[in-house]
Amino acid sequence: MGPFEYFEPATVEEAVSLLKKYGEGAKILAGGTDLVVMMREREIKPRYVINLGRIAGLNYVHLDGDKGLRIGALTTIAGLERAPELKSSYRIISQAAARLATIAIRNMATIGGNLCNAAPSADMAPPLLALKGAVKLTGTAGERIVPLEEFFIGPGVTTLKPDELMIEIQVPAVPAHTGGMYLKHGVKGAAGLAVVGVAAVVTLDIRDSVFEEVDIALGAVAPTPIRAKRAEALLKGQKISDGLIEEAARVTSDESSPIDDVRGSAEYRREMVRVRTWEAIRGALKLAKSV
Amino acid sequence: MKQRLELKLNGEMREVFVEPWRTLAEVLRDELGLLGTKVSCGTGDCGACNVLLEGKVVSSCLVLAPQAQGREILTIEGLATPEGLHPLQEAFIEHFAVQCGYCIPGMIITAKACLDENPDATEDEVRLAMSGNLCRCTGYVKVTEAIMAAKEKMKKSVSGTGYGKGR
Amino acid sequence: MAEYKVLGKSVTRLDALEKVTGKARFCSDMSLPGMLYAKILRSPYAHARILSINTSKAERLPGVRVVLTGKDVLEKRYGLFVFDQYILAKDVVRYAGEGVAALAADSLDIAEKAIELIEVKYEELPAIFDPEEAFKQNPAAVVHPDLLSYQLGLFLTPQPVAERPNVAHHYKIRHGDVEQGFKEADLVLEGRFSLARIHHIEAEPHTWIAQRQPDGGITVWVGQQGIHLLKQYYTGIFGIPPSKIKVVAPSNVGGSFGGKVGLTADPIVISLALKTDRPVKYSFTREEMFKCGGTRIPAVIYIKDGVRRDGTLVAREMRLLFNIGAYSSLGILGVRNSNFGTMGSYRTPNLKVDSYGIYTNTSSALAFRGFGSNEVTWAIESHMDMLAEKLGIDPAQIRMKNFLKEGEPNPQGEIVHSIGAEECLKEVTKTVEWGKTPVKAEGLWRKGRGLAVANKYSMAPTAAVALVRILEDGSIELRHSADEVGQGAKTVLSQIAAEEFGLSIDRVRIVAADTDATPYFPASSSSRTTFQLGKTIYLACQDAKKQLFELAAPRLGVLPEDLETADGEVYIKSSPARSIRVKELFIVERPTSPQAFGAFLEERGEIVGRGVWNQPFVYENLKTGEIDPEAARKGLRAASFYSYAAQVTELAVNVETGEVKIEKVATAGDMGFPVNPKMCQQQMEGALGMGIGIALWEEMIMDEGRVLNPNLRDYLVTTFQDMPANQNVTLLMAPVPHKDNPYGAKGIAEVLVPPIAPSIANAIYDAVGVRITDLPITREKILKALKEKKR
Ligand SMILES: Cc1cc2nc3c(=O)[nH]c(=O)nc-3n(C[C@H](O)[C@H](O)[C@H](O)COP(=O)(O)OP(=O)(O)OC[C@H]3O[C@@H](n4cnc5c(N)ncnc54)[C@H](O)[C@@H]3O)c2cc1C
Ligand code: FES
Ligand code: FES
Repeated sequence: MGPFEYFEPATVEEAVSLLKKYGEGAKILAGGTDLVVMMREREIKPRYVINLGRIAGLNYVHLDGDKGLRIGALTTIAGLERAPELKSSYRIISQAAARLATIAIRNMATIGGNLCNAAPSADMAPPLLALKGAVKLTGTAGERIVPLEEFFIGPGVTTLKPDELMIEIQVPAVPAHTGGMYLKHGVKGAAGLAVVGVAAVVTLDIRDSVFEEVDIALGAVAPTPIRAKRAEALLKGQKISDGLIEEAARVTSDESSPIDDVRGSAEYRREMVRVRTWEAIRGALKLAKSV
Repeated sequence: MKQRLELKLNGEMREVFVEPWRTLAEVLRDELGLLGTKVSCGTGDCGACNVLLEGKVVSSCLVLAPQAQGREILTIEGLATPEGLHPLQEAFIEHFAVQCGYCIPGMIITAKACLDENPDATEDEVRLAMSGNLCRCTGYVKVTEAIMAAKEKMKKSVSGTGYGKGR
Repeated sequence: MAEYKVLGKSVTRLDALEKVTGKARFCSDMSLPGMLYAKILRSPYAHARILSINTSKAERLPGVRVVLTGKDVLEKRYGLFVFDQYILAKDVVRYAGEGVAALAADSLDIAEKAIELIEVKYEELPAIFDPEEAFKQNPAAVVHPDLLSYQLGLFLTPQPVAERPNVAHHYKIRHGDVEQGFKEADLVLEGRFSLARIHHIEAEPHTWIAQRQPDGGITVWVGQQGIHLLKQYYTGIFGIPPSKIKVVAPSNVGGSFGGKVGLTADPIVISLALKTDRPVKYSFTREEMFKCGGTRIPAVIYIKDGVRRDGTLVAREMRLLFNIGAYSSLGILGVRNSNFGTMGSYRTPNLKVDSYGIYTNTSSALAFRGFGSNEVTWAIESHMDMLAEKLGIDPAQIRMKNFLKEGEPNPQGEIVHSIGAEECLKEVTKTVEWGKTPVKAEGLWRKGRGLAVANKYSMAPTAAVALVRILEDGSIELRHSADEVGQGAKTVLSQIAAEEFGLSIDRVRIVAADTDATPYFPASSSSRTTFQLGKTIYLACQDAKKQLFELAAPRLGVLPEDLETADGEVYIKSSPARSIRVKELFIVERPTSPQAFGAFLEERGEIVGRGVWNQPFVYENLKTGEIDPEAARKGLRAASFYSYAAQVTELAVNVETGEVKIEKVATAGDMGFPVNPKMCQQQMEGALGMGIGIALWEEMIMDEGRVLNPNLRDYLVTTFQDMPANQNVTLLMAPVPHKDNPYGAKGIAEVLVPPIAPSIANAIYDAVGVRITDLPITREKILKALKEKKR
């Protein structure tokens, strides 16, 4: 690895000015679980590494009534897994966090790193997409808020400009009778990267047994994490029925555009999207009924 | 390019001068001669290099040296006390949890983190917490047995003393 | 059975303490003053001509001390059985990962940087990857066009096939008349089975440190197995006389499973070291482990069985196609040794096997735990279930019916001895109450169970030497060259010495394996250590005791035969109270200057017992695979011994996703005699962990000869969570003693792996009615087969 010059800015502003100064040759280091692997395998050779780890105040989970949820970009995945704020309405986030890698990685890995690394299989992306999350970026040109849906561009590519940092993840408030479930399907058991990730967030109209709102997001089956909009539309406003859920699962599968890779074939992935979407919607429904 | 690095290592302040691109695993092994921490994959996938950083288990092959600056680190060498072995170490011996031994320091360190956080861990919880520690020799049967046995011992022993606690 | 004090007991492993405290040292932990770090540039192409190599930029980088290419290394090819490989590629590369240039520098950073400065121009050549394609008479590419002119090793006489240019070795068995057998059979069934390319995943990457000596010789520290074999190889390749080569294995090796037997980067590292005065260290990265650190031999197996209505096997024909890679390495041995697996368990009146080692443009295969046995067992044990189903016989019954019995000839003509197949199967079926039909689950998760049996030969020819020295306090020093790769050789062999001297095990000292200090032993491979070195140490102990008793007898006024020893004392068997301390036989104090001269024995100086065991064996006839009946009658065997294992696996399969949950396992092993029962269990659970992964998901995924998953993120191994709960794992001993070991002990490390995959495949069939014949049995394959079945 190396050589590179190493910086530990104390503030976000300082980090931004370092990024501006060193441009493309610089890389942000958060938990390092993606970056260090890439540097070690000499896939990337940054000349400047800027560690955000010593910037105070980027590690938080704030629940703010009807304003929703805000998560600091440097919050670790283990932190999310355990956060008391994520034990009810936003449970899907801690649930996904618990499925990301193993404990030693989760203790280092950050949510900002997971999103900025923009792997199609990133486990934190589908739940945040399904919750209609957005990210707050800051750079020389100031701050901007980008819906997560628009943040991902391709494998490893995002709308982040070279002089920009992600500082926060924002999630709108969740209405009553909402449940969410994230399912990760691997090559085996829980370990390893997702072959398919499915997040479903369902808001229920309890009186009429109707899907008031449905959001479905998928990981590892397209160049970026995606929403399954046709399936969402199919369910929205409809009376809940097993047949309809099955149909939505099929449509979700059609919306995915997986490829063959070392973890699985496109055909298998499409099939697993169907199976896991069906399960995730039903799981989310059950939770929605209980809250 | 070398920078000063200060670590609270196994309860002792240590100072070394290293380039910022050295990993914590390299610093421990090559600079400080603590060869108990092993590197088997170098990519965070196996747990052989696991150490405790501020009490939390991390893979030291992915930690850059300056990320550890000023922080507390516990390695396998810091686990036993002058009074004796840590209950996990004893249990690993008694229950035949050790074969080639290359994964074992990382196993024991991770098991310590698991039991520190969850002193009543069930077998399932232990298996989940340990799932990032790969071992090709054992089938984890006796390792799991050893951790469960150590758990009982640790509950009986007076907490807060010895065994690298609080380091 | 004899009453033992130390043997048969689960004595604490001698290496456990240093391993739990982080004090155990491995080759990868070593460094020497002034050491250089090596890196190897490897071909990105599976088959290409090297047009040019420019090393000048690398050479100019400060800190780079030696740079080598194919032009700078020895002119001649080397090999273990076929001399088919240059130390670094000359002109042509034959697999992606082959060494093209190597260098040594002051630091690893410099070496890594320098290696990227070497420029190589290649011209790609047509390549061949599939063993069945390569096997053809007119294959699309020929890996070694000059094969027929290559020098061959002396052992095994590789048999290339002139009309099939990629075949490095054809080995055959012709026993009886299979055609006649098929005619007599009531049912003839054929099948095709295959096994993916998998990796050993040893925890410690291979490491070497080589240092040229002032006398022109060389010392090599290896994180590998078999110091004496390596010394022979190095001598042969470099022409350095044996008196000038020393090979040392630091006392621990971090796993091997066959992957650290034989040669990989050794000749390159030594070539570098011969060019400098400084020691050179080289370790594979994890990626290199996958790309050029050896693999299990991928194979395609055709099987045709003829059986009678009652399940009696009358004829079996097999064609084994082994993809040995671009260089034959140990693959040739696998081609031959796999045949033992076809003969070791079942009475087969007519057996025909054609086994081929086929070159392809992929990395070389090495031995792998269960070498040769894994491949044939996968086919045979799946097929036994298929036959049983067609005949309506219980899978356990069809096996019981055909097991070889003590004293019978096997298809090779060897009079079999110590056959534990039946005992193993009985143990596991009893434990799981096989006769009772288990409850079948409905819904998404379907349950099933399956069984399989396996045998594993141990190689002959083989020999071993051990030395035992009696120290002045009556404790024992052991000198042998067993490898401690985690299997527990140190502990088991010390238990034997402790038993023979009536000592507690802490009074046995082991001298670390070093060709200068510890005597001949090929390697702790082929499950041979306990059987063979165990016997040798027993013999050495007898020799040392004889000498001891000769010294003590006059002092006690009896004959040597009347004496025995325990706890550092020599006593008279008939009146144990009359004894003399071993210590008293030594002169440790002189009246004038106490202890100034050390300890020695007046008459002999010291007592060193020697044990030598040269396994009697007979070579098979290469035309038929059979051994001379006369030799067989005299008790000579082609294999050293056979170990056995059986497994029953209970599992659940998800019919929507193809997921498999291993729920319960019972495994039994025949190790002859469990010298250390807990350590036998260690082997069983370890095999289980490994075997589950091999059965269900392990695979090096290849594209055009390149490994697409050369890391532990995408090459998955079994974790804590993939194993059944501890209470659902039953590990059983089914020892059938062997007469050639003083304690009846055989080996157990390998045989436990082969039955796992077929027992899982059989259980999956039981659960959901689909038969997967291609390992690994991934979720995808199960789901696909389920869909096809529905159609
Ligand atoms: C063994 C192992 C297993 C893994 N398993 C999984 C898994 O199961 N699921 C999964 O999703 N991921 C997995 N990962 C990948 C990785 O752990 C996660 O993506 C993690 O969340 C990355 O966070 P980090 O803080 O470590 O990122 P870093 O490595 O520090 O950074 C990742 C990238 O994002 C950039 N970056 C980081 N933070 C910011 C910021 N605030 N602003 C701008 N750019 C930023 C960096 O420059 C870099 O390019 C695994 C990794 C390892 C090593
Ligand atoms: S060596 Fe660090 S996780 Fe494998
Ligand atoms: S004991 Fe060898 S890898 Fe775990």
